[in-house]
Amino acid sequence: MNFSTWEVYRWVRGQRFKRKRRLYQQAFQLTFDVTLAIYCAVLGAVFLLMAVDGLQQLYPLFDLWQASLGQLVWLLPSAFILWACGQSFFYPGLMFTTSELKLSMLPHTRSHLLWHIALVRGTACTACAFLAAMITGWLTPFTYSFAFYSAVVFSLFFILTMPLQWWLFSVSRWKKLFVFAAVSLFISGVRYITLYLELHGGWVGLFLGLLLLIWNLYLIPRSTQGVDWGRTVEVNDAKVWNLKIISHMTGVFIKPPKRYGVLHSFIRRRRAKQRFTHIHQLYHRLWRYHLHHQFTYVWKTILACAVIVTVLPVHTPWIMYLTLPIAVFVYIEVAAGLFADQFRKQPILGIIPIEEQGWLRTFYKWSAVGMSFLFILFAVVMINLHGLYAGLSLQLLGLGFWSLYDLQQRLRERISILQRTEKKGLEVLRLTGYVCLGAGVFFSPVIFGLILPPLAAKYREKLPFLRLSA
Amino acid sequence: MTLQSVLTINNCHISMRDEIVLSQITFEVQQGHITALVGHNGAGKSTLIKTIIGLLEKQSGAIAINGIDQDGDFLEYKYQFSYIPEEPLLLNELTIFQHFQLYQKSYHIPDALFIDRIQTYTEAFELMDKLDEYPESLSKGMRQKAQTICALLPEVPLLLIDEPFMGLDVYAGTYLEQLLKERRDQGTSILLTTHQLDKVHNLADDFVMLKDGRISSAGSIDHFDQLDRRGTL
Repeated sequence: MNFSTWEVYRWVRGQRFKRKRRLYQQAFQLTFDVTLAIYCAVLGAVFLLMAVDGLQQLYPLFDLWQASLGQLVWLLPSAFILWACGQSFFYPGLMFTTSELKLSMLPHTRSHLLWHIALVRGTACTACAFLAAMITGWLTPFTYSFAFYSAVVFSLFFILTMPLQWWLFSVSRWKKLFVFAAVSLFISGVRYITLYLELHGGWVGLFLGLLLLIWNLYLIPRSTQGVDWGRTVEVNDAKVWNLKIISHMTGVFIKPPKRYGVLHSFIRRRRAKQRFTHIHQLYHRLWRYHLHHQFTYVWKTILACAVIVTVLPVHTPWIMYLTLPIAVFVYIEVAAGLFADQFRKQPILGIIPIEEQGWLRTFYKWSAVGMSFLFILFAVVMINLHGLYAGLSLQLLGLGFWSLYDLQQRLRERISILQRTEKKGLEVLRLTGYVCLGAGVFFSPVIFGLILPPLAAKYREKLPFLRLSA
Repeated sequence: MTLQSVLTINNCHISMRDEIVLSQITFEVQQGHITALVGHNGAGKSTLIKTIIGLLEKQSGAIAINGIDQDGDFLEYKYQFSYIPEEPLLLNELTIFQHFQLYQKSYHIPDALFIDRIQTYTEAFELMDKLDEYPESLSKGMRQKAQTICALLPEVPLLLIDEPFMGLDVYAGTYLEQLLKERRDQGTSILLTTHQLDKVHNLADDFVMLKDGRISSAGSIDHFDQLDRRGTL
């Protein structure tokens, strides 16, 4: 144990804690509301009383639960090993951040720092487990011996699996998958043998514990060998500084860069390095990456639109008159937002004079492909509700025409904002289009009304009432 | 002969988070002149450059390049300059050559000129074997060279350069210096920020000194002596 390293590490952790506390204090000062706090306190007290009352009614069941949970406690070792393997795909487990990396440039070794990090994490986890056990023993009918027995097993295997997760994090994805599969098979085998021989779960735990101990004796001296320090630091920085409340308040979410995913490797295959023969290929490439990065928004939007077009009308058919225009509107607004976001996220695209037509056309294709799901869903739901009918083709044509027209207008609007020309369309025309779309679902000939907004927009200079409102 | 002003900044005020960082900024960059924007750390040089390129919004005042106002036709305004940032702004999704293609299309650079310049600049900056590499696999200096080439590809009336020699090795630095002089002689105006005072004397024709968010002095480079220190009278 190097005490100078320990002191420095403790000081750095203390400063980090203070900085985080300051951020939380600022967030608290901004959001604290006395009335809300009083309501929360009252609700909390009521909830506690209800919980105590509920627990009293469940007292007779606790003995039964304790007996069955006693058997399950020894599943914890297996669960922890599998958990560590699974988590190693995302986190190294030990919080070795940029600060620790910089400390290691000073006369403090990485292995010493890792020991300290592991020590702090292990101690904190053990303390939490024992505190939870104490509270459980105090507040519930579970016995103290059972609660502490569970806490010991929990803490022991939590600590024993830390080096495994740390090592696995830095090995290749395929190696991780292999280890994960091998460990799963091994644990299943052990479990099967245990059940077959009717052995007590404790023996399995002891056996796995011993195996882990031997593995750790091999891994610990090599804990700084073959480590992907760059990725470790990136992931840990994001985890340490991703303060959920602050992120929600500021809208800034700290995420580790996704660099080595399967999709990323596919996108980065050799062909991707070839020079473009047409500039649209370059734009498509950038859109593909952008949509990949913003995939959360993409799938959530498509799912939300799909749900309101399919689920709600199946229960109440007339609601399609409302949900279809809403779904199209939401989809187009999100698509336009994602379009503009590309230019805000990439500073280089904000500096160079962007070639409007190319960027618009390429994104338009991506958005239209996404929108085709909506068309298909709409057709399926309408056939399901009303069977095949003559007006459906008219409705589908109208839906396609209006969606693609409105999408084009919104994209043009967004690019004009980026170019600071601010050519805004008339909202009343847009509203008319959506009303016609909804009404056209009810009575299909109304779909022809969708031609009016584009015509009016084209001849607006010649129409005095539109010129005035514009 | 009176020289035409390429960049005109008139009474600009720039604030960030309700705090004024630059105020009463007025100066011009003449055609075929290299103007050095100098000042102590935190004087507002990079902020001013970012405002000129439109990354930051000014609170008031006017900025025009070749008579095209930034608040007027912003797209046409962008065609008037190219920019070399202090930190490379390359996209991780594109290789170095693909970045050049992006600039070619954006600035409508003719194929013949594009190929000629790529050939010349990549050889001079020793980047020939890195053209099909992604930026993240290159060193910072290499990325800076790639970014510099991107900005040098188009024929624009104004070159904006934030710390041009930062990260470049001595050969690349010397070549860039020579290239900037050539461009100046061909009529391109250049506004650059730098901390290297010897370069200011060698390269620039004029200077504009910023101090605590204001212009403290400006004029011919012959009158430039030393940097004003922060907070001094």
